[in-house]
Amino acid sequence: MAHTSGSSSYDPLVPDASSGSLSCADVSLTVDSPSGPFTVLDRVSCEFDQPRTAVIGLNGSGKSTLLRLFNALVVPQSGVVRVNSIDPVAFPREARAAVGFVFTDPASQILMPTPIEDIELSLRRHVHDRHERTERARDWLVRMGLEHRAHHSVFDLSGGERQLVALAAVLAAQPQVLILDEPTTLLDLRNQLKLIDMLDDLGQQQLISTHDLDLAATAHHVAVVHESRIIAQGPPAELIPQYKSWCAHGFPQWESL
Amino acid sequence: MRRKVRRDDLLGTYVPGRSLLHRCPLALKATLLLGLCITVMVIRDWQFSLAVLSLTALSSAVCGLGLRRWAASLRPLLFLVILLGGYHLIFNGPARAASIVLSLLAVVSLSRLLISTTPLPRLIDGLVWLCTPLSWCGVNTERIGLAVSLMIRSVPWLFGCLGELRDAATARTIRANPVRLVTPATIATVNYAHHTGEALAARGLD
Repeated sequence: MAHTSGSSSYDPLVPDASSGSLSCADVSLTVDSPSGPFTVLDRVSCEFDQPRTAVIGLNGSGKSTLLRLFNALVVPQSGVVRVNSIDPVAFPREARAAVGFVFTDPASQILMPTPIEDIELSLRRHVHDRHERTERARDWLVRMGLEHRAHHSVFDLSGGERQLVALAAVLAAQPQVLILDEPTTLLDLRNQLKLIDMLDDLGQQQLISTHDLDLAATAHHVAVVHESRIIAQGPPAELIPQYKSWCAHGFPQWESL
Repeated sequence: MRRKVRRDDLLGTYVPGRSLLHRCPLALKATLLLGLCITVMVIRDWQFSLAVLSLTALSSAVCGLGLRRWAASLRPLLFLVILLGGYHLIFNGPARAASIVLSLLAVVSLSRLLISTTPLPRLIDGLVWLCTPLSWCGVNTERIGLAVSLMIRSVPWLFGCLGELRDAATARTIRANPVRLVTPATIATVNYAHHTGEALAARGLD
């Protein structure tokens, strides 16, 4: 769906031709805890270049931290991270411009009092005309089916509506890659399906951490994170049943993989 | 049953409209409202403050904001009004108490009128413009605008957080006096600040 005014090259639904790869090599991250150093990521290496990759794993396995590597929200103690050949540690602004990050709880992600103001905030950096900003923000709300909520307080929106606003605010900044950290966890089934439909219409490469195995099944590639490591990667048809079996009967020891 | 305070009741949010105040240029509107605020604080006359407060109520009705909404916006100040009014009533007399309370209500009402009739991005633009001289000294004025926006967005959240903590305590049959709520409210606020910082960083706004 092309934008109707402003720059003729603007269409965030069409992915940038250079989008392609999220990778890390031998990345480790340890944090301090009351009981001593705690390893969050342990020599993790991966390359995600499929249109949609799902990262699954138990609570506390390191999924969210793995995702946060790619926009420099966390900085590893060792190893190399790349976002389309950009080093997010050395160039966090460039990495964050390339990566749109959607958090689990949209309430903490929406920074402005109303949906239209929040989307306009994302546009401030590269759209200088305020009328054009307002028009583009309104376009995004129309795409999300939320035009009627443009000026409502964000506290009056449902969880699903907030998540769509958060997604719109991220997409308005025209990222090449979209990373979503458990985006459906707080949503009811109807809003989950609505969000997934929206994601299916986007052209950006997507990296999604999720407990929702139905969502994981829509991915082209799945990675299983367990106890700070990626223990398996592959097509969802193979990996999801394997993951279910591990959850039921116990995960293998790292040394046996 | 006590009515739950809406999170955005105190400062309010923009309410779209076509009234005179909505269409009034920001510079004129802000100067007028700020001028009234300063006059209220300087004169400190309860009758004048009451007149200004009445004017804000009338303006709210005329601008389509609603008298009920106007009155509800002042409800979060009730505790403060009782505290301040009671103190001044005892130590300084009724005229002084009325002056203090009505001035507070008038100033908050005027601020709310400005926010309710002006889209927040417009307010940010105005503030950034006002800070232009600071940019000559190397100050990033966009950050000032962003900080103010976050403050406006955060104040209702804090009120809502306090309400939720009170409800959580009540549900567990624990008396939720203000002192008991300070620690969990502080922890929740720090957590909120951390998440806000993350969200800002993720959107390249840090």
